Amino acid sequence: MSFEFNTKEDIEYNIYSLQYADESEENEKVLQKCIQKAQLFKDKDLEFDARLGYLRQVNWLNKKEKAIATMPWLLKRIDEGHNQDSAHTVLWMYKWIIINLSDFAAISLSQIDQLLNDMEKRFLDHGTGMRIIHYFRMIVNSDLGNMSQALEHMKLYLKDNKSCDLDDCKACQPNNLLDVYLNLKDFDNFQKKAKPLLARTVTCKEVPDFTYSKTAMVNYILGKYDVATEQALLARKKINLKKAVLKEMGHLLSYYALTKEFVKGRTILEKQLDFCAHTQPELFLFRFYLGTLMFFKALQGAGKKQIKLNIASQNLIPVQDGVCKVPEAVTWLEQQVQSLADKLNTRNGNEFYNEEKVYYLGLLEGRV
Amino acid sequence: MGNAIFQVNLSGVLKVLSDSLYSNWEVFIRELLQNANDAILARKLKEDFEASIHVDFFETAQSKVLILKDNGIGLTSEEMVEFLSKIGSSSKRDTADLFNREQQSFIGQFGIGLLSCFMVSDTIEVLSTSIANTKTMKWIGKADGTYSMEESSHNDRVGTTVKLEIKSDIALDPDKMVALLHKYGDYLPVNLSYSYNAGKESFFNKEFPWLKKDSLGNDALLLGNKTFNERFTHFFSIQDEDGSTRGIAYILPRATHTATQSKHVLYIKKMFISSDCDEILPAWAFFVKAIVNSDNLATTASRESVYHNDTLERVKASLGKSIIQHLVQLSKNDPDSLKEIILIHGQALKALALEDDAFFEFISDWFIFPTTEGVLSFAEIKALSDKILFVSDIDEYRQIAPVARANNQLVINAGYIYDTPILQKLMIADKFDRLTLIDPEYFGNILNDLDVELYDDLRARIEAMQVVLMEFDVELDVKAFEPKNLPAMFYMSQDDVQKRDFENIQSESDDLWAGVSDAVLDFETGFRSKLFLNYSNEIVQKLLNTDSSKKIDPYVQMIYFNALMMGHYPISNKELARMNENILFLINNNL
Repeated sequence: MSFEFNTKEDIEYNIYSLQYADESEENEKVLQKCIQKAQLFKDKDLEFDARLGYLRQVNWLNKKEKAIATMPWLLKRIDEGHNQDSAHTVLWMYKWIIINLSDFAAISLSQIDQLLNDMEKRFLDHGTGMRIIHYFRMIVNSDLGNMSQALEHMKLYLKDNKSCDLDDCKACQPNNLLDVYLNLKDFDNFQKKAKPLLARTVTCKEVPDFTYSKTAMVNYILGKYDVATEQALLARKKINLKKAVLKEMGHLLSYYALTKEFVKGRTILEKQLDFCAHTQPELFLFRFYLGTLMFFKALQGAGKKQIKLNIASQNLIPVQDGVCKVPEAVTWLEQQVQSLADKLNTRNGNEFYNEEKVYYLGLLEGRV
Repeated sequence: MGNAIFQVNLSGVLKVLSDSLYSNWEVFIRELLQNANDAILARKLKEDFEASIHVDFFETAQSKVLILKDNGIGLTSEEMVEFLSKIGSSSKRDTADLFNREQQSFIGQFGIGLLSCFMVSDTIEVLSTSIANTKTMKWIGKADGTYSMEESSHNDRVGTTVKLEIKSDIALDPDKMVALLHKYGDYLPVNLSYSYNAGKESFFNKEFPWLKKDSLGNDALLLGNKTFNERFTHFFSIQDEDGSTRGIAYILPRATHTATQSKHVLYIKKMFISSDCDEILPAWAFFVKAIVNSDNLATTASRESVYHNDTLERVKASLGKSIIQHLVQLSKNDPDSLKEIILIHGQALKALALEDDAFFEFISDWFIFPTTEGVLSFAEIKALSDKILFVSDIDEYRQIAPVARANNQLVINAGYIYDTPILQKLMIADKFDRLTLIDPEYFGNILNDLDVELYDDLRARIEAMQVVLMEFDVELDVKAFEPKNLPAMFYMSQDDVQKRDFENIQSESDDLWAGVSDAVLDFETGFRSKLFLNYSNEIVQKLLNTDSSKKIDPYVQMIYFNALMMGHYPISNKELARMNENILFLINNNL
């Protein structure tokens, strides 16, 4: 699809055309150009619409830092009383921002806390009630490794029945709960909440496609190998690897490490590793590199000295002439995982990500 | 409780079917004509005869009656019960044929067409004499869901007569009647006649222009002009692979937007179906209007649109191919006409070329592009220049054009829709290794450096100017280039435009958001953009040669702001504020 940028009508048409379009680098560029042109036309409403479209693109392309950097402009515009028709959309997008704050180690606890409070105020003013607030505080605290606070908010969220128009969909909510149960290592509740998702009684654009990698690993841990195999297959089949999906693929790599499925694991690596070069959120990288470390440790355990690996980026895992030496990769990955865990733990003020590392590597070594 | 049978409110069902299935009441004429035509076709399978349909319209101050009479195969009493009294029964299909509709000769097959008459009449009276039985049967159906049937007191010849007493609120008059018969009956393969109040008969038989022995002529042009209310000059016949779908394609005499969906006129088995059909030609053919008759496509139950199946896809592809073949022929036999078409419909043809490699191969030389030497075809561009540069962005082209012209370098403006993908496709096809995609930095880098001694003389001043521009992250370079009246050329990549944008948002945010943005934005240090000053320009020379004690900041900054605006780059609040200060300074200085 080609686009023109000569007139306001062109820009309006481009924004409208991409309103429900899938995310792609091309579409991101088009909307970026639309923002630039709207500024030249000095049309703030047009700029607003372009920024909404842009934020949607970059968020789902997992370029979270760009989404975060765009958000204050939209909030300010709403706060100044403009574009009130889209106030709900902006609040909806605010959720995408909130949920990703803890993924960046450079965002301080104080900043996260202040933005959670800001969100709470805005949401309550909108009339949401507290349920959605507990839901987001549960997710953020879980990612921060504050599991006792996450559990507290989870109880309040599950107890409260007041739904609102900003709630995540009925499939996304339990899917996000699964992440919390996974962090809590509460596999009983994990299994219970996963059931309706796996039965596809509730579905959405992302769920259960993004659920399978988690359930495959948990089922493997619980010794349900047939179910795990089936779900790993679905995880691989359902997720588009043309964009960065590092958290999910980190889980799947952990699974392939446990099952010693090296060909499948390498395919994931070759399709996702290059994204790491352009990914900032430390939590995404931690999950992916932890899975990758497990994968290489499994290779090492199987007596493999080297593995062919076709990746484009330099300065990632050491690869020379398309061959990766396993011991060197393990050393490099251990450094990466430790460094990322340290950054996250330092910010969080706890040892959660060290404990995660120990737990998952323990799975591989049969210590769990 | 065992299996029960659905209770049906028949009058309600009739109302739903007749009122909701069809878009307007006028289609009852189509349904009646179609039934008559199908009955004639069925009789022709058994014997040879002179087929005819006659329509009478009687009008008085109190009533309007329509009678349609055909000499088709007729119905026996059993067939009347089966086909007129059971909704969904049709004499023209059996279950096996449901998925093979287009194979049948008959137009109808759903057994619901007669219901459309309830939109205009509360009763439907049918008199019919079957070829298999000399008895004439009379059937009367009512909108309340009841019907009666009896043997008629007088025997008619073989055929069927339908009588409708038109409701008073239906705006059917003689003019409307004639218009509807033209719309639905003009091309039916039977003698169709009409009388008003038993007066003089008029006839409605026409033949599609493409079925005539002679090549397409004036009547085809008139048909297109009248149908689409256009003044076409270029038209040609199109058909699918086996000739089951045929028609005329008219090339629109004016440009249309690529997003426009062209609406075509569709007949199926010579019965008018739609003047709003956007499915018969590929989407890229939005520069064409078509009138088409198909013997292999089927309709939906309402018969107002075409049934989506593999056959439709095949027909669509074939008709598209037919258009391409015509354009290829034009390039050989009538290149002037092709040029004219490309001039008007370049965008559509470029869209098509991107989809179809064979078409691309043939058409690429004919495409026209705006260039620094005027609007030229690609063949002309190749002949004019060994090295062909193109720019994918109109704003960047605007910056480059004066420099390129002054340096006798042809540059294509490929910022319009489809142009860059077309030129990139030519690059990938590796047919023209002379093609290069450039941005403004390309010219900056190939322009002449200053003489080294001159540069050294100016060095202190250049470095001072660089310091002035540091706060805007602009790297300065000095070159000498044509045209002399251009003081500078500016370049900033889209990545840098975006980074500037994020920084602007950050600078306008409160402390919390500014801090969060700062935490996630990892901007590498270094210059964001580049300004090439032109030493051939008088103002730049003056600036570089002024006494070092003179304050030059506002002048340097204004050259930068000017270049920024000429390149259609967004200006930050900081730049805007500085520009205002500078303007006031310059005004004050010159007073």
